[in-house]
Order: sequence, then structure tokens, then C-alpha cells
Amino acid sequence: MSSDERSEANSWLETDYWSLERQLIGDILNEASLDRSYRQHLICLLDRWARPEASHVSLETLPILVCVACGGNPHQVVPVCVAWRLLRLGAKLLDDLEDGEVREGLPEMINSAVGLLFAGQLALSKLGDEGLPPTLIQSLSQELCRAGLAACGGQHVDLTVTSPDPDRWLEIAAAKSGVPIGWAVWASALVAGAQESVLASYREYATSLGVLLQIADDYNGVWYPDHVGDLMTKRPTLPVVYALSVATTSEQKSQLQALLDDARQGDIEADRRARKLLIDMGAQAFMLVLGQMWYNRAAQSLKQAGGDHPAKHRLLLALQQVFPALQDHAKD
Amino acid sequence: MNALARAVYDIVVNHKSFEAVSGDLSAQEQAILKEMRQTLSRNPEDLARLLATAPTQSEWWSNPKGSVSQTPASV
Repeated sequence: MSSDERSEANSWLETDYWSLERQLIGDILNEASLDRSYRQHLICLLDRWARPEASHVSLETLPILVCVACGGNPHQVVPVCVAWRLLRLGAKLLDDLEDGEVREGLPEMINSAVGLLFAGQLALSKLGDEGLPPTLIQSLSQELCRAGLAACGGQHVDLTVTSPDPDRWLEIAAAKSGVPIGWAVWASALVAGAQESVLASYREYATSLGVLLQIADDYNGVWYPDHVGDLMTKRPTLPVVYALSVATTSEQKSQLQALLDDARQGDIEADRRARKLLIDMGAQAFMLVLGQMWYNRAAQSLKQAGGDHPAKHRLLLALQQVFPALQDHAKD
Repeated sequence: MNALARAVYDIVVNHKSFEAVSGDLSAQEQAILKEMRQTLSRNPEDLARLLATAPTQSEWWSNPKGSVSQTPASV
């Protein structure tokens, strides 16, 4: 991709897209005649998840790139992106609530999350203003509901199964992460007028990308956490799921379990020792193998989608940036 | 994937050969182990050292910049 082409794409994201997004969110909230304080509250929540740098591909801008890669008009896909943003934030708030990460204002947070889910549905209806036929919009809405239901199903398993094995972990990751991202990308390719085989390839690309993101997230959560490491929470993270599934002796399992129990009580030394034990048990190697497998699937699907638009090269580049350790291990 | 987890463990921890662990694996799982044979042959601590500089990719999940409260005055 030339610097001119990259700059053209960035320029559209920097100016037109964000302006259109703001306008659409404003319209949706205005048309519902919302109480002023509730509207402001939703805007504040959206602020906390404000826009990324234009040079970064993010989950927010992924549908735009796919639309452009499919030869579509990016203006037309803005309602899909807005719906995706509102629904993603609503789902994130509910996820935080269910994980016990919200200490104050629980009822208000639940109310905001539900409001965002409704607002997301309304955003899709705005595709009619872009001249898209009602049957297509209905199809997008139905698929969105199916994706949402699948994510809820995955979350149910996540909440109720205390010791998943790697197969179960993968099912959860695919349902919670892969399927919703798959919807967003499929929807944008559909709006762009892509053929059935291209739609399927992009959906498979995004679903695999979603699983890869979850693998990378679990990897970072243990070895490169932003705040509190995953081992200090009760979250069933993949390195632990792996280690408990392959531990061959009860002593090995008990040792790991004892360290995890202490780490969850805030014992930093236990957290350090648990991370070391996971490495010794091959958890990092397993994460890399699994990451490579889903990276390959996503890259293959992208290739099968065909076309040679510069936006597609950005999609591949973005895929390579999800889990940099995959590039690092291949060095030297 | 459960079988793949066991295979990785046997290669990395028990130092079994690729041939010895690949019996229960799907063709795709066998292919990925073959592709990553060199990585799996590393000592787990060496691998951890190699990966010690891997940055995180949190920008994929969160959107850290800007503000939607710059909505037009009519909002």
C-alpha cells in the first residue's frame, strides 16, 4: 500500500467518518426524546471508549476497511459501524457487571447497557436512509440477533463452567468474540454488495480474528497485563486452562492451584511463581501454537476473499499486529 | 484442541518427538506442530526470554483517543 493510499484512507477516517458517526449517534438519541441526563450519561460512557488513532486498525474501524476492500462506499456502512460500537459498549458494560468489576451504580449501569443495545438496533434501521432495501436491513438485524444470542450463550458457559478444558475455552471464545466480530464484518461486506462466497470468506476471517484476539488477550493478561494480571482474578484464562488440562500428577495440579489461590488473594510472589510454572509447563508455547493456527485460518480466509484493494492489505497488516509474539518467535 | 494441548506438553516438557505425539491429532493440528517445530524445540525459559519484549495490542479492544461529546450543538 502506498503512502498516498494509506493517507487517503486515514484522512477519511480522521474527518468524514467521525463526523458522520457523531451525527448519527446524536440523531438516534435525539429522536428517542430521551431525558437529557440519560442522554448525557450515554454520551459520557461512549466518551470513555472514544475513537482510536486513525493509523491503527481497531475493532471500530474494521467494518469500514472491509467495506472499502469489497469496493463499497464507506458512507453507506456508517450505520453498521455505529450499531457495532453501541452494541459492543453495551455488551462490555454487562460483561464488567457480570464479572463483578463495577462497584458502584450497578442499577444505572445495567440501565445504560440495555439502552445502548436498543440504540444499536436503531442505528441499523438508519441503513434505510442510505438507500438499502428493507429486506437487506431485516436480514442484517436478524443476523445481529443471532450473533448476540450466541455471545450470550458463550457468556453463560463462561459464567457457569468453573474448570473448562481447552476445547470448551475455544467454544466460549468463538461464541463471545468470534461470532460478533464475524457479524460486523459480514454486515459491512453485505452492505458493500459482496458476493456470497466473499461474504463467507470475510466472515470466516473475522471469526478467526476474534478467536486470535482472545488468545492474545489471555496471553497478555497473564504475562503483560495493563493493570491487575489475570492470575489475580477468577477469570478462566487460557494458560491456566491449558496447564490444568495437561498436568499429569495431582501434585502438579495442587501446586498450581495453591499458587493461583494465593495470587487471587493478592499475593504478588505467588502470581510470579504461578507465571513461571505456567511457562515451565509449556503454556506460552501452547498459546503460540494456537495463535499461529488461528492466524493462519484468518489469513487464508482473507486470501480466499479475493480482490487486491489496498484496504485488504491493511486488514492483513492488522492481523499481523494482533499477536506480535507470533512474529517474535519466528525470529533468529 | 485438548489433544493438541497434550501434544505440546509432551514435546515441550517431556521432550517427546513430533512423530511420537501426532497420532491423535487432526491433519490441521499436525501441520501447525510441523510449522512450529523449531519454536517448540526451544527450552520454555529461552522462549519466554525471546518473547519478553512482545508489546500488547490493547488498542484493538479499547479506543483511547477523542470524544463523542463533540457532537453537533443540535444534539
